[in-house]
Amino acid sequence: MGADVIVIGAGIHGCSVAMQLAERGAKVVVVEKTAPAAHASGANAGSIHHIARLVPELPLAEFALSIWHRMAEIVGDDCGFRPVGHLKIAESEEDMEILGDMCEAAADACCIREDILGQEQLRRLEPHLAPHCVGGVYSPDCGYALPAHTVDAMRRRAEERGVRFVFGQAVREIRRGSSDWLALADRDRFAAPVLVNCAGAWGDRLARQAGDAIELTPLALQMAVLGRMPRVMNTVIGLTRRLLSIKQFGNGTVVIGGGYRGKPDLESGTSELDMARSAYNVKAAVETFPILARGQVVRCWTGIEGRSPDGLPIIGPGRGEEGIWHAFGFSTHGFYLGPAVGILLADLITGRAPAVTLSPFDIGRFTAMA
Amino acid sequence: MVEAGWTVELAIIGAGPAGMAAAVAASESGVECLVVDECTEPGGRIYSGLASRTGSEGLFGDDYVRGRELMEAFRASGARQAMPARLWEIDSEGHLLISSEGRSSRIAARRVILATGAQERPMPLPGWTLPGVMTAGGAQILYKREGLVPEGPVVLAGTGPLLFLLAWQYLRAGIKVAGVLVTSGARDVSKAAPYLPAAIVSGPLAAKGGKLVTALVAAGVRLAFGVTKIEAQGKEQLERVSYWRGTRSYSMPASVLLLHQGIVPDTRVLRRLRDPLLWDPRGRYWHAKTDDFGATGIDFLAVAGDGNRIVGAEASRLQGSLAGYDAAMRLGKIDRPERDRRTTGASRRLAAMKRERRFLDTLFAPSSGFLAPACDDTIVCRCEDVTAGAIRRAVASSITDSNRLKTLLRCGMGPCQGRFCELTVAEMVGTMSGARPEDNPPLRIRPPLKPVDVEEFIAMAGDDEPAEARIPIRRVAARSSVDGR
Repeated sequence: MGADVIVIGAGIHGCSVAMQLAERGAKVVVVEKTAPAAHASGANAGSIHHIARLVPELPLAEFALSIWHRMAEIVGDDCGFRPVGHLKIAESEEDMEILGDMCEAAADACCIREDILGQEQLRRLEPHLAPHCVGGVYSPDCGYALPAHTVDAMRRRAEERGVRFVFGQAVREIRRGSSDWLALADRDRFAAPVLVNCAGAWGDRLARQAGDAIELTPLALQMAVLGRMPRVMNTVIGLTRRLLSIKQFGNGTVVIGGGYRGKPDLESGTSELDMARSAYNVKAAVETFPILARGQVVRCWTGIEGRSPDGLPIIGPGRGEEGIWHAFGFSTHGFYLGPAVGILLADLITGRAPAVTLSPFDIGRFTAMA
Repeated sequence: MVEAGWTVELAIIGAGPAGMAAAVAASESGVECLVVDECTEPGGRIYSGLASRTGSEGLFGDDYVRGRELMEAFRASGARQAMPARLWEIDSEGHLLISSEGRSSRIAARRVILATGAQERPMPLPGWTLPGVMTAGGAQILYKREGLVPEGPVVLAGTGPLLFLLAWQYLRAGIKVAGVLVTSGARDVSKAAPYLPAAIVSGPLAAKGGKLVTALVAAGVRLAFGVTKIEAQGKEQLERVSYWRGTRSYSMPASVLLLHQGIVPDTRVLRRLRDPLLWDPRGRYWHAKTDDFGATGIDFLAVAGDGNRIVGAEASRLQGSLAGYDAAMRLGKIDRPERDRRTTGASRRLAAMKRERRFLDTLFAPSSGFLAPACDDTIVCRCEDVTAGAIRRAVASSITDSNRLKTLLRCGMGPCQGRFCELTVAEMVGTMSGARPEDNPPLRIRPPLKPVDVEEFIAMAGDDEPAEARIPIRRVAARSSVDGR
């Protein structure tokens, strides 16, 4: 089955790059082993913020944030994006100093607005915060979006632009032929001059088949959601030195995550909750907003993600073979970056200069180490 | 009541006929049992309120009174009871998290028997979210447990033995039933007719049903068969019920409408443990594959009663007994010949009851016109207000997977966790896409199995903080950064 480009994986990166390539006139087929947004793209908590990202990622984060503000125009759907602001909270004076350093480092690398808040401003923004919180950093342009909804909107837009999606077939082998890449899936084989690896936590397996040495560490994102509550918080909340991320969606439900991990199983594609860790996660949320103690946990979930050796994603051309491009190993930052990475990668693939350099994410950084 | 850190030989979830019988059989064989139920008393839905009732049980019929014998045997069995208590998480090693008296405990069980019973199949139709409309099963529980009965004209609608039984129980209590709108019709009767002789020979069920209908007719209850469409109407609450038989329409005033479209197994624990389920095309529900003793594909787990296939109270009791003796054998309390000796009678009786069941299941098969709402603005997911139209649009955009529909539309994400909408969504996907149920697996069940108060949930954290809880950053220089999350 002929195409210009084969994209492997229908998570946010696969759908985003497929949609962007189709906009640029390419004939694209996306091959996905299960369903769209089946793992990290659908299971993440939807946070759109840059604070606590690694410095080399910040210019890309700034571009990504500008794209989120234009989602309705780019995807034809606002994807549930709400710029309610992100608030990183200091629980001590030492936390305040750390936040100050982080802001300074961020300001050198990007121009996303950040305001340092003292006690009084903090309480005005979030009246239900626990009394021990002393201040924080507020990024008013950040916020949240709806992960599964976003990926589906991109999938629909891509289909409208002529992208063909093949679900329920895993690509078992990729191989470079004389002129084309071959992707051998469970039932069909696909051929195209260009292959894009958006296989998420499974991306390293494909990369190795194309001569790029890389090994991801699989992990299971883990979240808990509380049933609808009256308004408890307004912004997307994080703590400076403890694992926690909380937000209350428009419908009143509260999603709690922030970095505790469950148990992933790459072979079966399933993951299991670590109940004790989930309990700690919710406990930290209650310590931050004591009123959450009145809520009910209605659901916990997990999803598989891959972390790269240095915590930065792999984006750009393969170094082992010609005609293969990577966008995987986003190390838990992928949802936020997805809409932007699709644009930048599609520009690179079609020979245009991307708006932001992708060189910090080149897979060659690992090959050189090997 | 439930001590944290307990290890029990056998945990039985549910104290209805199957759970009680399992406890009796296992205890008798020397197994130490813990029986967990969400109600304050044993009996399950069928014998709800019987344990504490004195004198008025005849109002509910002979089958109800018959529950007393099993209940006495259960009491005498010495099985430990945790009631009211709720199982909210189970893992693949048989660890259970059970909430009781406002706190949760972790219990280890060597074996588990699920006797979780059934729930009513949703019957979404225009106006079904109006105050005054509820399920017949829910109304029956209110009557049996609390003595609450409806006021004003009451209409029952749908299909299934429970619909007729409840109308009859109301009549006996002097409650006026304005109408029974039966969504089964001549086609169901002719399909079931071939199974009738065998059913009559093998048990009393068919005859009992006949008596109920005769009693309703004698009392002058308006019985409409072959109803094809029903609407609940009213502004703030139910005022009228309109119904159609083909193109002819009828209407009657009503203050209470009780809907029933049969019952379906509650398989959430099986799904939580990822036991692959099979689709029953006649009953239109998912169930586990088991051996004759209820053992599932998960080595420590068995199921008994309506929690797996809809078999009724008497067969549930027999299945519970089989599962109880089988557990005793697997725990080394009795040997295989002993298990077989104790279960021969029950096995034989169960085989005979299958013939009765075939008749009932065919006669009261869920009515195809009521599995999914015809109108786009009828609400399917009541927790999240997701309409039939929203689901149809998503299915039309090629989303033919209930789990993805849940993620995208939130149908099944509310506090009822999909109990009220899951089968309706599955039926809509099947009808629209032509996908076989096998290609659209049921909703994945995430913990908790039922919502848990935050304070109970965080008590599961234990005393030692996980190593990663504190992010190891200190202020070292003006330039520092942390790994992102």
